[in-house]
Parts: sequence; C-alpha cells; structure tokens
Amino acid sequence: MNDTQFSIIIPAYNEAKRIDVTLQSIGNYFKNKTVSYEVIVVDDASTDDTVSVVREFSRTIPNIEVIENKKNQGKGACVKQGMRRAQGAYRLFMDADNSVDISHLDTFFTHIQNGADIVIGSIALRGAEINERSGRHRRFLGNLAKRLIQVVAVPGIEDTQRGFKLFSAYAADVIFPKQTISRFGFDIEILLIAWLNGFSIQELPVVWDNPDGSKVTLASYVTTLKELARTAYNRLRGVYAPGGYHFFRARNVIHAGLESSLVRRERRRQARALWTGYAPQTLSSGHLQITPQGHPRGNLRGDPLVYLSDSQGRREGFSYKGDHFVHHSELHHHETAFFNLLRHQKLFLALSAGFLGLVFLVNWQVSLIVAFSLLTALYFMDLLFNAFITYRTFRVRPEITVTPEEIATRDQHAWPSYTIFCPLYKEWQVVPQFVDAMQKLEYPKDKLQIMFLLEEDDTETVEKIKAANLPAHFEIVVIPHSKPKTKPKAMNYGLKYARGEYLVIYDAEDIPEPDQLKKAVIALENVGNDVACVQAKLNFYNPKQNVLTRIFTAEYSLWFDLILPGLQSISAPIPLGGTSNHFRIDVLRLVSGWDAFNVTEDCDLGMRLSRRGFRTAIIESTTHEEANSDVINWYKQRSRWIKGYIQTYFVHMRSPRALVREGKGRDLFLFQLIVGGKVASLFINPIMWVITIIYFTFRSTAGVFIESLFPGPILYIGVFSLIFGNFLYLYYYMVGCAKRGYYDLIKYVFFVPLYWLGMSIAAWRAAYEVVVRPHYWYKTEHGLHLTETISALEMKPLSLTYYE
Amino acid sequence: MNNIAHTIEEGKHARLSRILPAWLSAERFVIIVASVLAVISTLYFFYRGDIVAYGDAESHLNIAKRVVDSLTPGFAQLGGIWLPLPHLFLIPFVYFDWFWKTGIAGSIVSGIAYVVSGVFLYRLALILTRSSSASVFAALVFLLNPNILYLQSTPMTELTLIVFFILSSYFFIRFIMNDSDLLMLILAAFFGFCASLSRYDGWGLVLMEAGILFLYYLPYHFEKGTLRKKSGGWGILEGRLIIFSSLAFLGIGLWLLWGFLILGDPLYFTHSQFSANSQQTSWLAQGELPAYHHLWVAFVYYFRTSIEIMGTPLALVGIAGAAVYTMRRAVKYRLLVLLVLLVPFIFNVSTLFLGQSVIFLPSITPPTFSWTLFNVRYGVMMVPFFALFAGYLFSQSKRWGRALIAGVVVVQAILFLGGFAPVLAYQDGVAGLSSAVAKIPDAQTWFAKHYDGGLVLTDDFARTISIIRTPIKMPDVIYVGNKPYWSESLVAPEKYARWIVMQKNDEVWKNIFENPATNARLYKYFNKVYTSEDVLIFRRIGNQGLN
Repeated sequence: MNDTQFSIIIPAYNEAKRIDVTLQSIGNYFKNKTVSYEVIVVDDASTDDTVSVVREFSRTIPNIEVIENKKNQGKGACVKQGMRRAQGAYRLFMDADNSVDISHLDTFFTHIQNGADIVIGSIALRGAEINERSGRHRRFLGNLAKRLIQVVAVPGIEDTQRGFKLFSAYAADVIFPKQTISRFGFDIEILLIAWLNGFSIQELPVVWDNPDGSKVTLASYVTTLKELARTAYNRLRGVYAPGGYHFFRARNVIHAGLESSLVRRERRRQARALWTGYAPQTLSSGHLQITPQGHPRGNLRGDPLVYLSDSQGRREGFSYKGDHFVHHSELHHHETAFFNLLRHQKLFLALSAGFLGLVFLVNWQVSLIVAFSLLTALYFMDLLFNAFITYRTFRVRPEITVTPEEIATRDQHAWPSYTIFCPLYKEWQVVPQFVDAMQKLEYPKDKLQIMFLLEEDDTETVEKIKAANLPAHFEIVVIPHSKPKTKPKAMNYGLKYARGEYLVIYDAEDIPEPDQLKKAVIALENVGNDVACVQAKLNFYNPKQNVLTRIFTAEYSLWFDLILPGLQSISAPIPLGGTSNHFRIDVLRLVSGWDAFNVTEDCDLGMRLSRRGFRTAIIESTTHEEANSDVINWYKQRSRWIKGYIQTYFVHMRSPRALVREGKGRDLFLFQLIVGGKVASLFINPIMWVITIIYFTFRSTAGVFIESLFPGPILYIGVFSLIFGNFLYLYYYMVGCAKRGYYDLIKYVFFVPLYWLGMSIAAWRAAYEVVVRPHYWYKTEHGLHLTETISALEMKPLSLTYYE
Repeated sequence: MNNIAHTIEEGKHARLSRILPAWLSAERFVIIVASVLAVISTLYFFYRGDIVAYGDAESHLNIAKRVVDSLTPGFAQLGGIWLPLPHLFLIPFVYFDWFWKTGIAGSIVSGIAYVVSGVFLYRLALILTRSSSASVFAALVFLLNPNILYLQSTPMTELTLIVFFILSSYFFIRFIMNDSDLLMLILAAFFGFCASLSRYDGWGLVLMEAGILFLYYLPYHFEKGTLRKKSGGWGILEGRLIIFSSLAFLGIGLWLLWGFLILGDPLYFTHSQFSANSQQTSWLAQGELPAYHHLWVAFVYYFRTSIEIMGTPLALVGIAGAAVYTMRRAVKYRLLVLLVLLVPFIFNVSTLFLGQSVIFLPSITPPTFSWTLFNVRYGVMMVPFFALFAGYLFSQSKRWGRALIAGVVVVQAILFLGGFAPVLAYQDGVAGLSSAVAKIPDAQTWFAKHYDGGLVLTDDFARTISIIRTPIKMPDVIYVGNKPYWSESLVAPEKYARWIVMQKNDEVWKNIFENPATNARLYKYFNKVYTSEDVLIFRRIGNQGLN
C-alpha cells in the first residue's frame, strides 16, 4: 500500500524566478507535519532555468520530482500529467508563482474530510483577499467569462480559475483521464467533469497574492472561449459522464453506469480509510472532533454541531446544543432526518406560504380555482401512473423468480456467508417463533450469523435470550444507550459486527419462506452489481383474524405484489419494506447504513440507494408477518410510517436541483409520485371527499359555488378522477388479493374507503409528530395474534457471541 | 408463455404465403386489407351521399357536437337514452364542422373500430382454429360483408359495439382457456365495461360473461347424472366474480347513476318518452310488434335477420362450423365459448320477445304493416359469429371442403353484387323506416334556402329538419337540451329565437302554437313564412334576434 498522503502538482512554464519561493513555502509547511507528501513539478518546455531551480530543492524536499516536457503543451496538459503520476490520497495542484499559499491546505483538507470530494480556491467569495494589479478590461472580461461559464458549464461556482485545487485520489482518478482541454480552459472542464460525475465541490475563499499580475493575455480569453465551446460540445456528446436516464434504459447501460458508481463510492471510502488509518486525524490537531467550517449553499452555517468520532476515527455521531446523538453511521447529518427542514427549505416554505396567502387575499376565488385545478391535474396524473405500473406488473412480470432447479444446481457450490439482523425491543414473547423460523431456513448454518439487536435498557429480553439454549450461529448485540433510540440506529451498530457477504433484516415476528436466503443469493448473483438489494414480498400469516387484518393483508398484497414490481419494471426508486430486504453488505456500508433519525429508515434507504445509482429488485419469495389486529396499534404504527414518509420527503428534497443536474430528473419526478404524492393525498383526500359529499347533499344551495371552483375541463377531469380514481384504487386492492390468491378477502375491499379514512386521520397525527417529536419511534406491539403467551425461553445458556 | 399466448404470438408473425414478402405477416395482411377496405368503402358511400343516411346517424353526430359546441355545451348533452361511449369517441372529430356535417367524424370512429375488430377476430379465430390461413379467411368474411362495410362508413354505433364485443370475448375466451392469466379476465371486464357503455347489447354481454364465470368456477359438476363437488371452493368463484363484475358492471352502475343525477331517474333510458321502450309501446298499440311475448317469432325474426345480413349461404357455412366445433369433444370449454359468442343472438331474441326492440324484415314482415324494413342492422352483431365459425369449418376441411367453402364465398359475392341478396343495413338506411334521406321534407329544403342566421327554436327529437343539411350552426339551435333557453322560449318565444320550426304535435307545436297565450305572442313577434300540412316555420319580424 502506498503511504503518500499528499501530492502537490505544480505546472511550470518559465517560472525560474518565482518557483523557488513556492517550493520553499511548501518545504516549510510540511516540515512540522507528520504526514507524507510528494511534489511533482511539470515543466512545460520552459526556455529558462526552471528545471534546474527545481532540482536544487531535492535536498530539502526529498520527494520532489520533475517531469520535463520537450514540447509546450499548456497548463491543462501539465496538470493532467502530474495528476496521473501522483500517488497521494489527496492531490493538490497549485500555481508555481505561489499566488495562493500552501498554508491554505489546512482548511481545504478539513473540508475534504467533511465529505467534499474537491475543494477549490476562490477569490469571488466573501473573505477572499486579492493582491493583484489588473486592468479594468481584464476585470470586465473576467466577470463576463465567469457568467458565461456558469451558464454553459458549471452553475453555482463563482471562480473556476484559481490555481489551487485539492482533489481526493479517487476524484482525480476519475476526472483527469477524461480531461481533453490542454490550456487555460481546463479548469472549467475538470470542474464540469467532477460535477457531472456526482462529486461534491467545495469552494473556499483564498488570499490571492499576485502583485505582478496575470500571464493571461486577451488572446487567452479567446482561446478559453473556444475551449469552453468544446467543453459544452463534449458534454453533449456524453464524453464526460454517461447520459441521463432514458425511460426504459437498456440494462447494460444502467449496469455500466451504476457499477462505476459502486466502485467510485468504494474507492472514496478506501481513500478515507487510508487517511483515518494514519496517525493524526487532522492536519492541524489530533482531536477526534471535526468542526464543519461552512457550506457552499450556507446550509451548515450556524449549525452549532460538532461531530463525534469513535476510537478508530470513524464518525459515529454528533453533539448538537449540548445533546449527544450517536447514530453509528458516517452519514452526514444533512443526509439524515435529524433536521426536518434545513434553513433554505424553511425559507422556501415560508416564502411559498406567504406568496400563496397574498394571492389568496388578492383574489381568493381564482386562487381556489388554480389550487383545485392543480390538484385535479395531479390526481389525474397519479391515476394514469398507477394504471401504467399495474399494467407493467402484469406484462413484464419483473419479479426475480428462482426455481428449485436453480437452487439445486447452486447447492453444488459453497454458499456465501449471510448475516441476519433481528432488531428486538421488549418483545421476547415472539422470539421462540422467530428462532423456529430461522432454524427452518434452508441455509448452511455455519454460514449464518443471526444477530439479535437488543437495547441496553431492555434487560428482560437480553436476559431471556441470554438464558436460552440457542445454537452458536445466534449472536446477541446489545446496543449502548444513546439518542436516537431507533431500530435503524441499532442496525447501524450491528453493521459494525456483521460478517456476512449479504445481510437481511427480519423482524422478530417474521416467518420467511425457508428457501428465501438461497433465492436471494442466486438473485443477487445473477443480476448486475447495480442491484444493491432484493426485497422479498411481505404478507401476513393472520389475515383472517379480523376485518382490519383482512384489509391490511389486501393492502400488503397490493403493495408488494403489484405496486413494487411495477415500480421495479420502470427502474423507479423503490421504498423498501421494513424487513426481508437482502443487501450486498459492502453496498450497505458504502451508503453508510441507515438513517437513524428517520422512522421509516427503509423507505429512506430505498431512495438513497437509488440516488446513489443502485437499484432494488423484487424477488418472488414471501416473508409472512403479523398483521396489526388492533385499531389503536394500527393507527399508531401508520402514523409512524406516514411520519417517516414525510421525513424522507424532506430529506430527499433538500437539493432537487442537484438531482436534476445529476441526470436524475426522472427519479425526482417519480419520487414526487411515490412518496410526496402518497403522503399529500392522505391530507387532500378528505377535503375532496367532503366537497363531493357537500356537492351532492346540498346541491341546491352549495352546488353553484362548488361548480364555480371547478371550471369546465377541470370539473370533467376531476369527476373522472373521482369516479375512476377511487374505483381503480379499490380495484387494485382486489387485483392484489387475487394475485396473491386471497380470493375470500376480495369482498372486504369494499371496506377500504374506511381504511383510507383511518390513514388520513393517522396522517394528521404524523404531521403533528413531525413537528413535536420527529424522532420518536412508536414501537408496534407484536404477538397480538398469539393465542397463548409463551411463558419463557426455558433453555439453558449455550455459546453466544456477545458484543457490548 | 402459455399455449394460447404462444399461438397468438406465432399467428401474429405467421406468413400467409411464400409469394408475399416476409414482412407481410398474416396479421399485417389483415390490418392492411381492413384499412384499405375502410377507406374505399367510406369514400364510396361519401360520394353517394349515404354516410348520414340513417336518421340516427345524424342524432349521434349532433349529440357529440353539442357536448363541445352548442348554446349550453357540456357532458350533460350526452343525455340519458343512448349510451355515451360512441359519442365520446366522436367528440374530437365533430368539433370540426366539416367532419360533423359530412358525418366523416363517424366514419373515422367506426372505421377504426372496424380495423381493430378485424384484427382481433383474426386472433380469436387463431385461438379456435390454430391456423393462420383459416383465421385470415374468418377475418375476410367479416371484413368483406357489405352490411359491415356500409355501417363502418357511418356514425352508427354498431361497429363500436362490435369491436368491444370482439375484444371482450377474445380476452374472456383466453381466460377461460388459461385461468391463471388474471390480466385476461381484467381486460375482458374492461372491454365488457366499454361495450356496456356503447350499446345495451353490451349489458347482455357482461351479464353472460359473469354467468359463464359462475359456471366455470362452480365447485360442483355433473357426473353420471349426479352432482359432485369439485376441488376448490366458493372462495375462488366469489373472488374472481367480484374481480370481473366490479369492473364489467361499473359502466352500468355509472349509467344508472348518471340517469339519477342528471335526469332524476336511474331508469330514464327506459322510462323516458324518447326511449325505445316508448317507441315499441306505440307499435304494440298498432298491433305491429309481432315478436312481443312470442319466443318462436322472436327467434325466427332475429335468426332470419342475422343470416340475411350475413348472406344466407355463408351464414349456413358458419352454422355448420359451429356445429362441428360443438361436436369436438376434445375441445375444452367449447360450450362456454359458444355461449359467449352467441350473446348477440340471445340478447336480441330476448329484447324482441320482451318488446324492448323491433325488427321489420321484408321477407317475413306482413305487407299490411306500415313499414316492412326497420332495424335490420341489428343482425350485423352476428356477423363475427358466422365469420369465426366459417373460418373454423375452413380449418377443419380438407382440400375439397375448402374449395366448396370458397365456392360459397364466390356465390355469396355474386348474390350481393348482383343485387340478388339485398344489403339490408344499407337498404334500411336509404329507404327503410330508419332512413332520414328517404323522406326529406320540403320544409327542410325551404329552410336550408331561406335561413339567414339567428337562433332556431325546434324540437330536435321530432327531427323536423336535419341540422347538418342546413346552414345552421349548432350553437344557433335551441332544443330541449338547452335548458334555460328552451324553457324560457316555450313561454316567451321571442326572447332568443329568430326562427321557429315546428311539426305537428311536437313540443314546440304543443307549447307555443296550441297554447293560446303563447300563440298570441308568436304572431305578435313572428311572421309565418312557411306552411305545409305538418310543418310551420316562423321568422322574427324585423332583424331582432339576429346575432
């Protein structure tokens, strides 16, 4: 393994008079550091003594190297050469004239460690200092060029041209091979490549000290303009990154694109691990705390938040306003539901509400007409979308089916190791059922690692399971008490100790089909690497307990047998089910596990996987769970789910523009329908029902007023959506039941409107909870189906692996 | 892929002949032939001026037109008698006046239905015969039938029903043959839903399909004279019946709801004075409803109508084919398949028997009746049946048998082309009781010549004048569907109208001419400008009322 941490690349052309100061400064800077570094000077066929001046520094800077070019190629080409030669985990290129001093590296590196892939110097941001002589025309041209660059290439970056840019090794490895521009326009091109490939770019103010002025001539601007045009052309040709999603994209294209994403994430992780494995945690100090310095969009500004790392330097939580939150994940807190809304989201919502209020005051009637028109259009779109994906489910039959013959053939080879998570909290009663289900799994026991994830304060369950005579492949993980106290946090903790190649989560009351693990392995082996997770279908073993369980079963049949396969068939982001999702464990670690602050971490993870280029597939295998048979219990559980969907929506709508830029506009649109629309409809449906009822009940008095709110075409579309929309949704439930073979449940679907009403009521509770206690996890009671209480696990203790 | 799906997939790409190019598969051949025939026959009848020969044809066009372009546009203009789907299909086309007035709007809708019917009849024949050539033969028998060719050129709703009938039957039969494919049942229900909103025959179709489903899943069967329980239970019967019925019967439910909400009576379509039921009552009073409560007569009337529409020789080939099919014991569910395809027959015999409809067929209607040609087009509903089983017989025949069948086709063609066998649906349109062109009143000719703009008050249900054959634009008509204008005009005729056209005993006549109070107003504000035995036309004095 290479131990070099920093590579400093300096392109030089006739810099004999100025480069010595620069190299001197670099030598002094690293003299007091314990990190390893190298300096690569790329000479661009200088006609002065630049090379010999550099060689003289080999005594003071041992790892200095000069690349000599016989022919002048341009600054861009030199930087590319240097970057490709560099070995460091972090690679900085800087100008030979020392216009930005190496001491900036301290701050730059902190930001790289905080999650940025590239940090660039800027003199256009507040806080920058400029010491340069430049004419008015040059400033004018500079500003013009900046605007042009923002429009044509990289929006949002104020200054692309500063010769002080720090890259993670992986970012450099991806970006520079794609670079085509050799001269001054190369800065724009590499930033564009970075942006198109999903790297996060941080722009920081620098002190710009260049009293002699720039070497850039007016002719250089013309050249840069030409290069900018070429860059734009290359972008259109897809030279820099695979194109955006097509509606039904060929599988190999997705595969290729997403596989690279997998590699990219992995290498980024390795690069970080490389650093954290090294002695000091930051350049400036050895503390385990990293304080964010700011954010290009200002989201982080002002968050009184301090990260906490574990003994190995891995980020495991943060402290906020005196409270410690240990979620055991490296997930940036802005990727979690820790904050419901970020500042810019709040601002946007406030402005929108203000604007709407104003519009309403100016002309309430037109406002209502517009609002109802929009709602009608949305409902209609949702109706068409659902009809489409239902049809796709039947036509494409996208579920992965694994036959017994395939399993038999695969049996001839060794099966990979498999970790099973069973998060438990105060529900030891269902453990025997779970253990029984696990023992029935047709999978080599020596390849299984079944982990009970137990909370520290749940001593009863801990003791009961400890006392049980469970086989060796059952392990106990006791999660140390910390906020937030949620299932995903427990799973993040468990992930540290998981040894399997694959991982699945089962709730304690789950009974998976015995061959499910084998099917999942074969499925994951047969699909592309872009498929990070296969979701087994969920259904219930107690559908006939009462009317509620019957309708609940109909709902699950619809969701897992119709909707999710339909979503899979159009490569849409899939909100995962809470259990029975089988992951490639390396991917799970790459995406930093679950969001411990989100109360539907499954839905969030499905979206995050999709956002990071992974797909989820549905497998034809079922896990049976316990349907909630108690109305209050169901209501609270549903509130939590809706709350989680709201949280997920907020989290993934933090930078919709970025999604569009990343070529994920289609996913963004589908996300609106799958998550946003689903939640919104729960709030809007009752309003529409009430309007309809009032219309028909008090038609003589209120009819004309209501009609006035729905002008002609809108009324027709609205009525169509009302009749066919409601009918079709009911019908989908029926089809879901039929597809699952629950024929005797179909008649109960006529009660589903009452169920919807219950969901809408639960949605209001969810909205309340999102505000008041967003991270509170209502624990669904299980075991209500059991006719007799299981007394105890009366088994003697056996060898248990026990982590604390 | 199951067997049937495989057969269909193969049949789609089957080559009809080695002489034909490879891309011209049997199914493409059917599509091309159907499209060409549709265009040619439409042009032929267009130049003969027969596209809107039927009185009902214009009414269909007008109903659709009024939804988008009238004094009071809106879906309420669809009314509550005729089922709405054919009119909804017409709307995008009748929006343009030329398509409306020429009736081409209807030709487009019927033409598309005709082509799709041909294709799915071909596929249905594939399921039954497993032979692409026999299936092409069946499709051609259907496509070349002159009654079908005429009706597909018109705005009449028969082709819309036929296409949904064929589609629903096709998917339903596919489901019967492989009941694991639930999508087939859903599609059968969906097209049944469409059929039930096209013509009332569609109600019979979905009812029959539900009945067949019941029989199919009944957990009992007869074995050696005793009722035995089958494996499975009532659950699957209940579930699949609900899945089918809730979609298939939705259209009927919505139609009843529509009648209730818009017209105040869920059974408006049968209770209204404009309903077929009311029409039949007057025939009954005249003693001219021969099939009423006479099952045999009803049977004979419809049987004769359907075979004469098909052409008797070819119809007999079809019946022979059906007989052969019925006797093939190896064919599973053949009786259920037959039942589906016989729905039009059962439905029409039932409605004749119940007095809900009437047919006057020249060959059997007593000459003493006021009319001997009426509603014979109902027979076209059986053309797919005859065509299908003619194809079946073709598939089951050897060389000589096929030659014989081909000979029958030639004979039939000679009979039609030589005028030995009348093209009844066309005859009824141009000369029967259904015709609008057979009895164009002098008043209409006069009005078309003298109309100089302004609103026209008329009882359109009495069909006093033909709107499309005059220069009137649809928003210039005040009729019973333009509620505030109509009711106010019956009290104060001068309020909106510049012209009043009335026919003896129509609503305008009764409310304005015969009512002394309004009669006085009528003569105060209007001049009588046209007088005939039945029709009076009034024009507003001066230029008031001119838009």
